[in-house]
Amino acid sequence: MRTILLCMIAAAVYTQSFAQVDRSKPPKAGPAPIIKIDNPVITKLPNGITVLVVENHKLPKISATYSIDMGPITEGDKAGVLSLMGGMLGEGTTVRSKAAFDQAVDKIGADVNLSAGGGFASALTRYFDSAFILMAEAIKKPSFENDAFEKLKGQTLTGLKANEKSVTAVAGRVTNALSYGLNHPAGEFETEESINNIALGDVKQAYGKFITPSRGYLTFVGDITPAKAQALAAMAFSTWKGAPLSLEKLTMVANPAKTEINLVDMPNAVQSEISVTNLISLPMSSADYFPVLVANQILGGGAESKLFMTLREKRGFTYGAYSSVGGGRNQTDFTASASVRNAKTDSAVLEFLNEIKSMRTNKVSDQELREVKAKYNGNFALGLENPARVAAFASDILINNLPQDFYRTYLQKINAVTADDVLRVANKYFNYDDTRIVVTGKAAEIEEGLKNLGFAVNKFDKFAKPVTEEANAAPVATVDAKTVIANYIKVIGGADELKKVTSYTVNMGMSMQGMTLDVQQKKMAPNMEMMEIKMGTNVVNKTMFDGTTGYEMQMGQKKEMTAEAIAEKKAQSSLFEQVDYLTNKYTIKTIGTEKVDGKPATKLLITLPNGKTQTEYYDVTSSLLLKVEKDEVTNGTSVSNTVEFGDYKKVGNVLFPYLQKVTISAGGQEQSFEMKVTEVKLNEGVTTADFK
Amino acid sequence: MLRRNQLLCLSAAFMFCSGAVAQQVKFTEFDLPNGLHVILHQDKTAPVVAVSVMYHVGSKNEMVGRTGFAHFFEHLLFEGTENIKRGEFMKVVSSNGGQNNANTSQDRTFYYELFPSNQLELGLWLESERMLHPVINEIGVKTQNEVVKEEKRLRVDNQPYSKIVSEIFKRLFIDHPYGWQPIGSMEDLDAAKLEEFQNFFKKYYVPNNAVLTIAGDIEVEATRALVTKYFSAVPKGAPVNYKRVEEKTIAKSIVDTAYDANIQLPAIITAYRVPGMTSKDSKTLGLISSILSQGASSMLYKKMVDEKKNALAVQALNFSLEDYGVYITFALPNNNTALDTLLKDIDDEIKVLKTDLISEADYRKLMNQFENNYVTTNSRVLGVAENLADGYTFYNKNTGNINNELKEVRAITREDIREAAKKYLNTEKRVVLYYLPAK
Repeated sequence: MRTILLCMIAAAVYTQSFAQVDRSKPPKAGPAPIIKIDNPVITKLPNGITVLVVENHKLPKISATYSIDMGPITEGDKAGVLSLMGGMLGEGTTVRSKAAFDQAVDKIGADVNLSAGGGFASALTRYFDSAFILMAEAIKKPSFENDAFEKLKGQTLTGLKANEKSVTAVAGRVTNALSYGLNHPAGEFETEESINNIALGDVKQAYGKFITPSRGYLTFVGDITPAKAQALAAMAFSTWKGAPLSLEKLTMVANPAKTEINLVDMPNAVQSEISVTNLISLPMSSADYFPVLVANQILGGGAESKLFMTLREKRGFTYGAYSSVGGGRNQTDFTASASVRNAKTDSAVLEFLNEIKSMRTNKVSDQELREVKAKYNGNFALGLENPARVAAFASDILINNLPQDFYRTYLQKINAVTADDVLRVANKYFNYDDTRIVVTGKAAEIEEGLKNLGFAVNKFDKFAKPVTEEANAAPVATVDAKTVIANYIKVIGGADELKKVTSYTVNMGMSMQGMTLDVQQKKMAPNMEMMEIKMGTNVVNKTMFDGTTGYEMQMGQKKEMTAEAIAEKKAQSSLFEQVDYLTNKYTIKTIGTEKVDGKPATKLLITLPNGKTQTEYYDVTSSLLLKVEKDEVTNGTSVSNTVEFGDYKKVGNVLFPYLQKVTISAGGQEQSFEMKVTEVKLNEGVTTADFK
Repeated sequence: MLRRNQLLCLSAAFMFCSGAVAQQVKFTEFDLPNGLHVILHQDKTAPVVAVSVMYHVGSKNEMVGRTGFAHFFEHLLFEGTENIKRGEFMKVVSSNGGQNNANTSQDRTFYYELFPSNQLELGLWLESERMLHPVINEIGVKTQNEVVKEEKRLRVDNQPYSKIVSEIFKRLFIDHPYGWQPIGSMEDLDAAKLEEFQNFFKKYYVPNNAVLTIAGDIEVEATRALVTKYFSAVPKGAPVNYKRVEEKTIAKSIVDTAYDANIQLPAIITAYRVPGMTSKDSKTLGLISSILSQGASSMLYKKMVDEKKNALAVQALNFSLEDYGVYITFALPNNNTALDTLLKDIDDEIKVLKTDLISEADYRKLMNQFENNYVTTNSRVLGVAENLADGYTFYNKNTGNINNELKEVRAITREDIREAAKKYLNTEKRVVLYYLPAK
């Protein structure tokens, strides 16, 4: 009966309201929903761990997080030790091997993760006890085996390598390093060197110091009662002991006295990463905290904010431009940033500064203020869908020493912010005359424009070290080019010995993009040569010159050698091209000295008989050839080709480089591979039949 | 404006087929006279409501030469309506405390708003405006054409490993429209005339090809009345006919290379064409990917990442779609390991699955892992809304499909797993892709 009645009412409502649909404007909101934030139940274990429980029975699942409030930590020349230590917590315990541990976690379909900051366990209600105990075991009893340590170290190094050319990764670390300084926890970063510096002992030491009940917070969220959670916590952790933890005292870092541009050259960049950034001190308990949140939201918090509207919608420089700001116990930063196409880098920097200036000069409108507040109010309500949010509120209050009602009155405080507040905090926290502009991008295309902006432009390398023009030059007297070549010929065996070589075969192995290739090179006097690259038994590439003509064959496609290339080959009369350099067909001159891989080298410009040039570097100390660079134009794009030589070994009476590192770059992309010589044979088995 | 990657990141694709909650999800459903199917789900745990519309149109409804339309509409339909000025749609949402977005797959497009629950009516107004009379004009098409190109540059051209899916699909689907990706071809979009966009809208964005799902802090009867109020005015469209194209079987394994300028580490990928999402075998293949790569004790992770240490990452997943699925394995080398070594390691484990039954213990593990995922994916009302709409759209109008999923998976036996591996993971009929850094 009741249902029928409801339907009738619904039908009545329907006919009535359908008749009056006014589509022309948005419908009015209903009464604001009541936002209630339940307090988690908070208790303390005897060893100091704070236990928080948020009971929520919506899903048959429970999660637990153990987090240690250790604050930022300076790692120094062992940057990365904490993250390796965190990784090692997941590599097996003294009770069970990693394989057994993983099996135990997966068997119950649980998630258990460990990190330097603590641990996390989540599972279906019926399996939660086991998952929780596994997490506790990993935290309390890691096995720290060397094998696992080497594995994680190797993975970290591979990961660093994978990011070498990532413009965003480099921009991120350099921006922090320049803002906070390389000796500050927020400024330092992992490098190959710092990772290699870390021994297992360092990891164990870090564990002893930081993984402890001191300043620990254990939070349960989900389908569990406080009593049950507290009993589990006590069982797993109450007798656990560890070192007392105190927060590191950080020295305050100053902003630049005058606005400056810091430029990091990444020749492969197609977009510039721009950050306009200054350090701030903004505890969450500060009266400025909420006005700063609102001011930042108006400037760059979203897709309707000023930065986005100007840099993307009006100027079209970028897909998005934003700003961010953080509050906390330590210094944090205000940063406005975007990825901008090369050509618009300098203009974009100006727009960032203009928008910051406008926030510092003009009052925001009532409408802007109203819309931002509405957005905060809505998002706050939406965030409550996640029960873990309530736990995060509680631990924030404890860690930052905030009043108990901080989050219950959060929206009241947002809603109380005025246009005057926004103007005041913009002047205090968004620097204009004393800010830092970090640009990571292709200097060749953007440096000129940036210099014209009128700020000091300081250059830094990918590791935040200052770059000066002289840094690459080596302080060595220049030597005449002919002497350099004569010395080289002498050290590799001498002209007479070289003359005795009428043919040779070099076999090399090459690893490229995960594939293993075999390379064979044969040469025969005066100028016949052949090179074949094989993958397994398949010939991938073959080039050949028989003294009068030649070809290149790639994947079965044959291309005849150009007349120009033939002329170049024909000009050679010796199997060792340096012998020809001393004849009058070639022009050679010394153009400077430069370090190659740390070794001072004489830099020669070689002009070939056909007019093409290449640059060669000869070691000042050993006289050996270290590097050859040449640029070629293929199908309209410029390709630069660099070969570095090393590991010279004696074959008969002649020295051959057993290691060749080839780097090819074109169109902003770069690729390199190493060829390792396995065998060199002199005057043995090569006939003219090999050059067909 | 689209923030979710339509090419679906690999792990997201895995989640796609496994979403549902453990408890029974209750719902009410009805049709409006214009054919709009409406699903209501009440959940008062937080003051939040999700308003969503799933249109049963994706890139597979497009024609050769005019690809990218469904995704393009995902942008176009934010441009404005007869009552919402150009560029105001998103502003209305955010300045009323809401969030909105949309995403497009090969099979469907999903639009949604998430609001504090007192803004339910606003959400209904927005979605009904969009269905009733969006403004599709030259200026909108031109603007969004540029935005879509920027989006492609940012999310596809500039992202490492982002071309994997398209490189696989174009080799596995020759006749079927799964051969192209939802982002489509920029040339096609440039060539398309305004009229073609308008016709595409008239054909597919009709109430009888859509499901409206509202989930969250609502009163069911009042919501029913509001839905009627806002959506009844939308006229019914012609029935949508879609004819599934049958792909020919792969005669011989396809071995190829693809290049990506954004990567330093190469990858080795294999891909198999498998049955679509409604089949039992599709679920079995989902389980096989868990056996292979979910969790540190999974076959591939344990062997390659932990023991042999030759892979930095390894993953298997069943990318399931309406007409077909694609089973993919993916590995990144560690310490310069040759790709062929990784390929062999993966193939060896698949061979084991084809020969031996997995142990009883591994089977129980699999079931627990499935249940754990299953419970998690519907922790939010938006997820519930999408899963209910999926059930109606893809599983023969069975809105409550998610309530059966756990039971169906538990009915899969160890023998089923072995048979599915044998039947579908045939190394003679697959794509092997060497995915290499470009020069």
